[in-house]
Amino acid sequence: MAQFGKGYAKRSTPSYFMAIVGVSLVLFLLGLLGWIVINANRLGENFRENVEVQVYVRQNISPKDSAALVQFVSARPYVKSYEYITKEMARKQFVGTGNDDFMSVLDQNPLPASVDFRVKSEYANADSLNKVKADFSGNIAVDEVKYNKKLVTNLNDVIRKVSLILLVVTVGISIAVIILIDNTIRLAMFSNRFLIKTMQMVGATRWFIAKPMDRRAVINGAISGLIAIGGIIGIIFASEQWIPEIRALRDYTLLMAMFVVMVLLGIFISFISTHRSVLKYLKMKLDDLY
Amino acid sequence: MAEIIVELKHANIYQGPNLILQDVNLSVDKGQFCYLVGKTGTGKSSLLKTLYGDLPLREGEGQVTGFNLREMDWKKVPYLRRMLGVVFQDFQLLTDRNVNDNLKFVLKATGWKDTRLMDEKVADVLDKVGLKAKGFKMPFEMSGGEQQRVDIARALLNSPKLILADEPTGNLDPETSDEIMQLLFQISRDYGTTIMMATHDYRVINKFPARMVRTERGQMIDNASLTIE
Repeated sequence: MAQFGKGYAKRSTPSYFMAIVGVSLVLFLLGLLGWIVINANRLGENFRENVEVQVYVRQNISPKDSAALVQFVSARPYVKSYEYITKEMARKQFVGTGNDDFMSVLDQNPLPASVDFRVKSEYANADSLNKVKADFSGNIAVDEVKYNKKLVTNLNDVIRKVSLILLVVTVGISIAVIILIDNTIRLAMFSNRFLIKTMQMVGATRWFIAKPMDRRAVINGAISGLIAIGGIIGIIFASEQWIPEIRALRDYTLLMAMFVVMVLLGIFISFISTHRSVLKYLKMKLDDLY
Repeated sequence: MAEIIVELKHANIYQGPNLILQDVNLSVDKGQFCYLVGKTGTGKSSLLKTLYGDLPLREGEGQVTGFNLREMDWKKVPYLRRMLGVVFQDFQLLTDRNVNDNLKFVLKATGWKDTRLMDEKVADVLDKVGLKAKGFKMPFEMSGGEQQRVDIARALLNSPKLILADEPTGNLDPETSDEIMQLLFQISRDYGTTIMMATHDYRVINKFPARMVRTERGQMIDNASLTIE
C-alpha cells in the first residue's frame, strides 16, 4: 500500500477557497460578456430608434387637414416620437444648415411643412418602413413620405453582424466557462479522494458522504456567483464614471436577469461537477486512487 | 460451539482480472487472533479487501459477521463495514478534522444522533487506546504510533465483532509496534473481538504468538502450529 504521512495530510485539506476563486473568475468573465451583449443590444436599439421618417404635407392644405394628419401620425403604433415642422421651421432649418436664405430671391417659401417622426426599434427595417410608407399612400394631406433607405439597410446589416459575432463569442465562452468550472471543481475533489474513500471504509453510505459535499458545492457556487456579480457591478460603475454615455444604456431588468443566471449557473455547475466527482471516487477501488 | 465470525469455503480471490488466491478455506471463531502472513504480493491485502467488501467475492462461498459476501453490493457494503473495524497501515484518518471529529464522523455515519452519547463514546475509545487527552489534535500533529492508536480507537467505536488490520505495525518502530500489538491483544481478550491481522513482521509474530494463516504461491495454508522461519 502507498505511504502517505504528514505532508499528504496537510495537503489534503479541502481546497474550497481556490475552487471559489476559480469559479468566481470564470463567472465574472461570462458576466462581463453578458453585460457587453446587453449594452450592444441597447446601443443597436438606440441607433434604430434614431431612424427618422419625414411625411411632407401637400402645399395649400387646410390647417384642419394638417391637424388631422398630425393626429393620424400620433396614433400610429410604430411611432416613437413625432414633431410637426411648419414651413417657417423648415426654412429656419434650411438656413441653419448653412444655405442661403431663398426669401431674398423668392416671394414665397417653397419648402413644404412636414410631420417628422421616429419609429420604434422593431420597425426600423426596410420591410416595415415600406409598410409604414404604404400606410400614408391614400392620405390626401400627404405629398411624399421619405426616409434614409441606405442608412436603414446599413444599420441593420451592421447590427446583424455584430449580434452574430457576439452570439458566437458568448456560446464559445459559455462552453469554456462550464469546462473550466468543472475542471476546477474536479481538481478540488481529486485532493479529497482519500477522504471520500476513508469515509466509505468506516461504513458511511454514499448518500451520507455526498450530502455535505453537495451542500458545500451549492453554497460555494452561490458565493462564487455573488463575488462575480460584485465584480461586474464594480466594472459597470467604473466604466460609467469613465464614459458617462454608457449610463443611458443601463437596463435594470436584463442586468438582474443576468445576475440571477450567473448565480444559478454557479450553483448548477458546481453541484453537478462535485456530485459527479464524489460519485466517481465512491465507485473507485481503493487501489485505483493511488 | 464457538460463533464463527469469518468463513470462506472454496473461495477464489481476484484482484481485477487476476486470480490471486485459489480455493481458500478459512474459518475464524469469535475472540480468535489470527495472523495472515506471506510475502508482499501474495494476496494478504486482497484477502482482507474481500472480507471488508472492497473486492467482490466472485467464486466460492464466504460470510463475515453474518453477511454473505456473494450478495454484497454497494448498498450493503456500508452495513457490513459497520460490523467491522478496519485498521490500516497508513492510518487513513480524515485529515481535514481533529481526532474527536474523526471519531464522531464514524458515529454519525453509522446512525448515532445524541451528541452527549457520542462524546462519551469518543472519550471511552480514546481512553481504551491511551489517548484520552489528545482528542483535539489534528492527525498530522500526531506521531505514527498515536495515529495508529486513533485508527484502532475508530475501529472500536461500534463494538465490532471483527477487526481487520492490514499491516498495522508496518509504518512503526519496534517499540511502538509492540505497544500496538499489546493493545490489539488486550482488545481481543477483553472484548472477545476477533482480530485478523495481515503482516510480514516476523519479529512481532514471534513476540506475540497466535494462530497463523499463510498465503503462498496462490494458495492459503492454514496451520496454527506452523513453525516460524
